[in-house]
Amino acid sequence: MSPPDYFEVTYAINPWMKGDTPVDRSLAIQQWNQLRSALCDKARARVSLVKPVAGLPDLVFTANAAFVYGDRAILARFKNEERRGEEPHFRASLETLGYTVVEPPVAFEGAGDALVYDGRLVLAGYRQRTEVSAHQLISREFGLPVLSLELHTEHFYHLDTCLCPLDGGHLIYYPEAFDEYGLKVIEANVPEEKRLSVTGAEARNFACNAVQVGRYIFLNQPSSRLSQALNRRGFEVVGLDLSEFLKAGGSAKCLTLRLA
Amino acid sequence: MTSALLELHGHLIDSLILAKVIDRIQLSGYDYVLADLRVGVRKQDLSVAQIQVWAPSSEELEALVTELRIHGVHLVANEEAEFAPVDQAGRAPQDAYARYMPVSEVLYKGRWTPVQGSRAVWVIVLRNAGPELVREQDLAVGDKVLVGQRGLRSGADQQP
Repeated sequence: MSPPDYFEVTYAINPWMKGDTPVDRSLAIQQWNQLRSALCDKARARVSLVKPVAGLPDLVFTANAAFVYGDRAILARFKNEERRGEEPHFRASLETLGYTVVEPPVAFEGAGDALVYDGRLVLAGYRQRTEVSAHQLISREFGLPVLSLELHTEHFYHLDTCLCPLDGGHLIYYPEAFDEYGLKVIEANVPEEKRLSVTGAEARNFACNAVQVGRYIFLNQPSSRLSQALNRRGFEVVGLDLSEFLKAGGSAKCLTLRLA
Repeated sequence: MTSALLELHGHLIDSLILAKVIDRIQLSGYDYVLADLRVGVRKQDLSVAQIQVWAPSSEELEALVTELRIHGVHLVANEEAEFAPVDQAGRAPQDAYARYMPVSEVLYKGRWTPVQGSRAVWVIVLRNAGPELVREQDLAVGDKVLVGQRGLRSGADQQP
C-alpha cells in the first residue's frame, strides 16, 4: 500500500475523475488508515509501504503497480503519461522486497487488469488501459493460461473494477462491463453456483473492487444483499467508507497489491 | 476491391478473440478466408491466425483494421516501415514496435549465468548500417525508432 499523503484529483483519466467535488485529503488519510488497520487487525495481513511522492497522486493505487506471481513481477507500463512517473517508484519498491522485475513492451496496468482465478488461470482485461498483447507476457513468464476479457465501458476501465476472484473458485462480477464474448468466457470457466453478479448500483459503488484475505472481504459500503450473499458463501464482509478514493475511480482493491 | 492479410497472436481460442474478430469481419459483409491458424498445444500456449480480407476500398479496409487493432490484429503488408524520433532518452515513442526478450540465463560451464540485457524491452532503431535491435533503456534523443506494424515481418514468415 502507499499512503495518500499526496492523493488528489488533478487530472481526469477515467470518467470518475470528472466529478466536481474535490478530494478531502484529511478524510482520505483517515479512510486509508481504516482500511490498513482493518487488513492488519482483522485478517492479520502484513503491509509493506511504497513511499508517497509529491506530484504522483495516483501512486496510492498500488494494485496497478505490477502483476506479482511467485518471486517475479511484471511491472506496469501505464497507458496515460500522467501515471508513467510511478513506474520507477514501484520498480524500486518491488526490487527492495526481492522480486525480479520484468518490464512489458506495451501498455499494461498490473493487477488492475490481471487477476489469478482459482490459483490456476489468469483473467486479464484489455482495451481501456492494457493492450491485449501484454497478456502474452503473463503466459510466457509464468506459464499460466490467460483468458483475455475486453472491457467495453469507460467506467469499468480496469478488470478489478468489475470482477473479483475469491477463494474457492468464487467470483464477484458486473456482467454489463463485458461483451457477449467475455460473458461466455466467464460462464465457460466459472461454474454458475460460484458466480455472484452485482447490480449497476453496487458496481458503481465499487462492489467488485474488493480485497479478500482469508475469510474476510474488505470493500466500500456493501449492500446488505451482497453482504448476505457473501456470508452464505462462508465469507465475512468488512464494509468501509472509501468515498474519497471513489472520486478518482478506485476503492479497496485498487489501494492494495497482493504480494502473497 | 482491395485485399489485405491480417494477423493476430495471443489467447485467441479460449478467450473467443478469433471468434469475435471473424464475427466482426462477417458483419462488415467483406469476403475473407482464414488463411492460417496455428493453435497453441497447451492452454498457456499462444495461437497465431492469418485472415485474408477483401473490401470494396482501401479506406473501408483501413477502417476495419483500425477497429480490430484493439484485439491485437495487425496488417501484414509490403509497405515501407515508418520511424519516429526519440524525444526522451530511454523511452520509445508512442506506438513503437517493442518486444520483450525473456531469455534470462544460459547454462555455461556448469553454471546458470545471467544474460546481460535479458528481460529487457527491445525496439528497432535505424542506424547507418540499417535497422538494429536496441534496448529501450539505451535509446538516445533523436534515435529513429520503428513505429506501427508496417514494413515488418518475423523470421517465421521467411521459413520454407
